[in-house]
Amino acid sequence: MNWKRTRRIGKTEIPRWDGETYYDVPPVKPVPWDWKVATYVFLGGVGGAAQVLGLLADWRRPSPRPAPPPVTRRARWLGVGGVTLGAPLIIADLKTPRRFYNMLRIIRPTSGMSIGSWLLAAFGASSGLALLAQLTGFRRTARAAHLPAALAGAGMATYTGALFGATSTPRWAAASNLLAARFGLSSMAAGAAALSLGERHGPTWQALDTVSLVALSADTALSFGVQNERRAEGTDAADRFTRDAELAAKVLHVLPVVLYAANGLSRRPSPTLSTVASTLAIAASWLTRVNEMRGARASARRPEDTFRLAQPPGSGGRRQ
Amino acid sequence: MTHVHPRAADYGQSFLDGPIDDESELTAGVKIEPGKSYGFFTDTTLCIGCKACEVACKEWNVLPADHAEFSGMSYDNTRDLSAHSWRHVTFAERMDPDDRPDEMPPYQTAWLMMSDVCKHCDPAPCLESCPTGSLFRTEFDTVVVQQDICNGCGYCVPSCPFGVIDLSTLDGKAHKCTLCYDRLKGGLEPACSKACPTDSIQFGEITELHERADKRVEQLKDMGREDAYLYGAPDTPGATGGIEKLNAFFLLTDAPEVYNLPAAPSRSAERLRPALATGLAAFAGVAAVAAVLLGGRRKGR
Repeated sequence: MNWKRTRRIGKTEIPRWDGETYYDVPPVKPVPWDWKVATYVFLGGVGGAAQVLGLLADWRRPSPRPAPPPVTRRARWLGVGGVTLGAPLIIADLKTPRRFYNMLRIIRPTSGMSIGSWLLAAFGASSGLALLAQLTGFRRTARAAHLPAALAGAGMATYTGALFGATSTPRWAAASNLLAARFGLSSMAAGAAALSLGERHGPTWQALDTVSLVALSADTALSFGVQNERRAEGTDAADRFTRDAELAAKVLHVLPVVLYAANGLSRRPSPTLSTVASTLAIAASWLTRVNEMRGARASARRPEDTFRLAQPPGSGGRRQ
Repeated sequence: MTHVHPRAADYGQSFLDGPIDDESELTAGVKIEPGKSYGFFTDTTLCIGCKACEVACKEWNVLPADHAEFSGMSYDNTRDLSAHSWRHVTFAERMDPDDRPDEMPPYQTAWLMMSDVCKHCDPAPCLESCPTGSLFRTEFDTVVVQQDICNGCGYCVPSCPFGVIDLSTLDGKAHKCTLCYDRLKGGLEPACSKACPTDSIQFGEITELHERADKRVEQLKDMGREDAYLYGAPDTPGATGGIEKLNAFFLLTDAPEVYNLPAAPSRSAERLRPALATGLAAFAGVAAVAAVLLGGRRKGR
């Protein structure tokens, strides 16, 4: 035995990894998903966050309650819209789509996908009921159905990030907690922006813009945290396209933050500026998800990323 | 090692009337009974790279060909485990062309070969991620995909820390080694281990295999191979990060990465709950801000 340097796992002493790979063959397989899943993640997040905001806008009002404000009514439309557009996208991404209903065959708490399937089913059903009741004039039923829709909506906005983190894909696994936080914040920013786009009542769209501003700023801050965690684990490598796409996403985050802030500080906030900022915020949310999907597939194809992440702690081999 | 089972004398004829009851007793020295744990011990120091395991697996499981061209990777044209390749022999050449040794320790030295396979992890990340219940743990403590349930969502694919399970483009379902579930039910040992001419692949009850493997490591060390170690037995590399043991485990003589194995893989499902909690907390934080901004100011509009 002529090992120069060793690392210890359990009771076993094995040679240090010197950066060698097996003919560059990736030791893990990339996610077999594309833009369809990334777009579903985005749509589910917008719809979920919108339902939460819609409920909050209708909350704390004296009973007997008057008609729900327009923002709440539009949130119900957004919830149903997110499911109507998003669900067909993920079903289309299944490799055997006609068996989509098997997703509700069991409940598996260790599976992000199982949790997500039930969340989507609950969110779709309650959002649909709330909208149907709203359109047929059953105000109380609409309100009663809006509560489960908002609870499931919070799950819809965040579970996808946790689902991605709970894989062996190095880029996702290296920053699973912050990734889920980013997805939640990104959903909130896009949901508030989407509601703000159709809002005429000044104080309401200004409040929504502030919510979007807060969520976007926190999301931008966390994007640096995610980057740091990936760097620490050695899974931050990126091809040129990914780097450019990530830079574009950063610009798309910072621009609406600046515009929202300018509008908020101004004495007469401009609805046009709000519309522009909200559109950018929505685009930022979508691009974030698409970038994560592309970057994850690329990182799974780099054997070094997987080997670095799977080094025993304290072996000094994480960053080679 | 070579001793003939007494029952072998009952089957002296050239042509058998039917299948042999509990055939595995004769071929692997173990009776297969539901409720016990079975697996593989793959001793890479005995592998000669003949690929009989790959062929036996393809034949028994009727698996289609993956790619029929040369890879340029030593003698390895299979490249990796896939939906249609459930055994894969790796060929890692350790020869330094500028410094040829004139003396070598016993067993594989300049050419490391290993027959890779699904590890049938305990707990199994693919199974824990499967939303349809298509992946399940059998009565033999192995992990199998039920083909009539899988809808090809593909979440098991990135969940596996070893890149084993994959989707087939031919039928849109996930596939991997079943540890010959059908054969075990019929009292036969898996096709690959039965075909292995050197007993590099050994099938048996897990606890018995662990004992056998420990003895083999000791034996190799006595022979001067101090670099021999187990990968995937409890408390060894491979059985890390929440994965307690691999029911298909290995004896290696170089870094796991040389065999394309991660040194300290982790159970992906362990990241789910903390991530979900962090995500919901961040979401709730902004929702609280929204509650103040949206809920407070309006009065019965």
